[in-house]
Amino acid sequence: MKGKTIVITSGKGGVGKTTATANIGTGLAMRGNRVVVIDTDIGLRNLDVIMGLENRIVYDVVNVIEGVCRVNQAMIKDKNKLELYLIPAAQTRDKSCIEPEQLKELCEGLEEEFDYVLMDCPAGIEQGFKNAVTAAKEAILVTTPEVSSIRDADRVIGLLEASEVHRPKLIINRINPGMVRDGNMMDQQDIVDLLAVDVLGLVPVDDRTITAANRGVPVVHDRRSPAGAAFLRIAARVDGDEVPLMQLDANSGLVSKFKGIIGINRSAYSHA
Amino acid sequence: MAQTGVVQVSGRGTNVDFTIDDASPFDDVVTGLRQYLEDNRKLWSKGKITVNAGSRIGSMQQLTEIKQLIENESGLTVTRFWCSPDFLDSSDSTGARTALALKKSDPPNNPLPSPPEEPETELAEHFQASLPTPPEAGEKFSLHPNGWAKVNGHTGGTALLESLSMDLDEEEEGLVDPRRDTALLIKTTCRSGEVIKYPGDVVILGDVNPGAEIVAAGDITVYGALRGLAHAGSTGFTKAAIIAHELESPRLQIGPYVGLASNAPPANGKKRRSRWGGPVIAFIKRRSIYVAKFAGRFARYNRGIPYEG
Repeated sequence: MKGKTIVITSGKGGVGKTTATANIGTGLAMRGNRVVVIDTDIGLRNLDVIMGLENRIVYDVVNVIEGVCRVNQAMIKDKNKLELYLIPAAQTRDKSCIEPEQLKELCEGLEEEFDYVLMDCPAGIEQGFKNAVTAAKEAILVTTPEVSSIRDADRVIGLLEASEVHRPKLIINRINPGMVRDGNMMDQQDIVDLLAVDVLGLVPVDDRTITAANRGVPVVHDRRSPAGAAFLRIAARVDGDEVPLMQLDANSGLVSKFKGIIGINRSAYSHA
Repeated sequence: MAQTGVVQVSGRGTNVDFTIDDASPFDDVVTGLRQYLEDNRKLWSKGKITVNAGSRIGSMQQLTEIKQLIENESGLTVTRFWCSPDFLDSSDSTGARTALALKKSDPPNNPLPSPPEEPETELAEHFQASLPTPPEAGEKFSLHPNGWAKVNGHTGGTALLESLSMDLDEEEEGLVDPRRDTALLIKTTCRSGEVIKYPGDVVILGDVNPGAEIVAAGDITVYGALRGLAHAGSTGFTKAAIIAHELESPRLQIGPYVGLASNAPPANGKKRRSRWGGPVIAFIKRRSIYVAKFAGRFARYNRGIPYEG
């Protein structure tokens, strides 16, 4: 079995890299793939919290690289009995304690055993970013419809190309369809025009993402969450399915808006 | 502004100009200059200056005298003399600034086409210019085997991009005209953090995104939207132009002249609609950057409006 190593990156912090990693990883596993997610944000460990596996950590990625333990010992199986494993980051070390080549070697080993190796990249473009990007062959870029986030994404695309990771795929996170409709937020077309990359998916802003993260259950398990549904479609596209990109448009009717607010009308966002 | 007879001193930003009356006889100039430097000796410590000869043509001897006078009286070092381009090449009268290299170690007995005089002090040490100063004509580019370099490393935007090497020997002699027979073609989008420097024209088939920087000794042509920084005529060639399909740069520079976009960006982050509805050219007119609807690189642009983004 020869899997794919994909890095999930953004440049700017706080745009939803970790959430996207957890949800795409879970989504791919729900489709029957064997998936491992690696948290490369050494020193600022988050992915285990989002996936609700914090209290099961014994070994971490630095222990694996330093040879303290075997890879299998550091892999934590998902709570929902999926073929999904997490290799957490070390919280007491920093980014400089691993070399890009070591991480690459680890990923190449994991590719033999898994369909997908997803890496959650730290924010910034320093050592941690280099570690993750060197190991990856493909990249998923997360951005929000804000100018600062798009500027950083643009820079990161340039850096990815410089390290031979071509044609990253774009996820636009936290789109507010109402603001887009009123012309107060950049829409998909504006962002794609600027960044000139393919869109992998559009994720609407959704309060359930936050509650799901707090509970340690990725939002793709929430059947009523528009963001979860969007991440499931993204996982399907990563897996090679042709899922058409749906345009976000907020229904303008008062009733459907209200239903949308109280969460009984999923079509309030007919999101992609 | 201080007036001492024939010498007039004015501050412009962080630069200091000495302007000497063009019409005064040479002896008066020497006396006035010496008087001024003696009176204000505490003002200067040390530094390198360029003497702008203006429209006056002096003899080699007068040139040496001015140099020695300034160096003895002030502790400043005269490294170069400039003179008005009108006196070197009347056909190129729009103001390509001419630099005559004058090595400070050897006395000025190298053959200079036009010895000048009207000193202009720039960059005395405690008046460090923070504004971009006009690049020097003799600027060297270090050559890269590929002929060009697009800097795009992990180095976080420190421009490794000392790209092309090219000995601009012919330009040290006289006119600051970039090589008109070479152009760099870039077929991709220039992204944030990328720096492109080239000692000729630059043509970009994609967009130039915010945060990217293009520096060319000649023209810059963008077949998309120019949203990054662009500096055409970087060696001082003020006839260079910047042409873009959409011109949304926050800062343009042609030769020494800078144009800033004064309009605030739209609140929704969307790009603003171009008022021109087509390609736009930016050029120098009356020492500032003007833009007009593109009608050909060598068309005459009589109208145009100052660049405001």
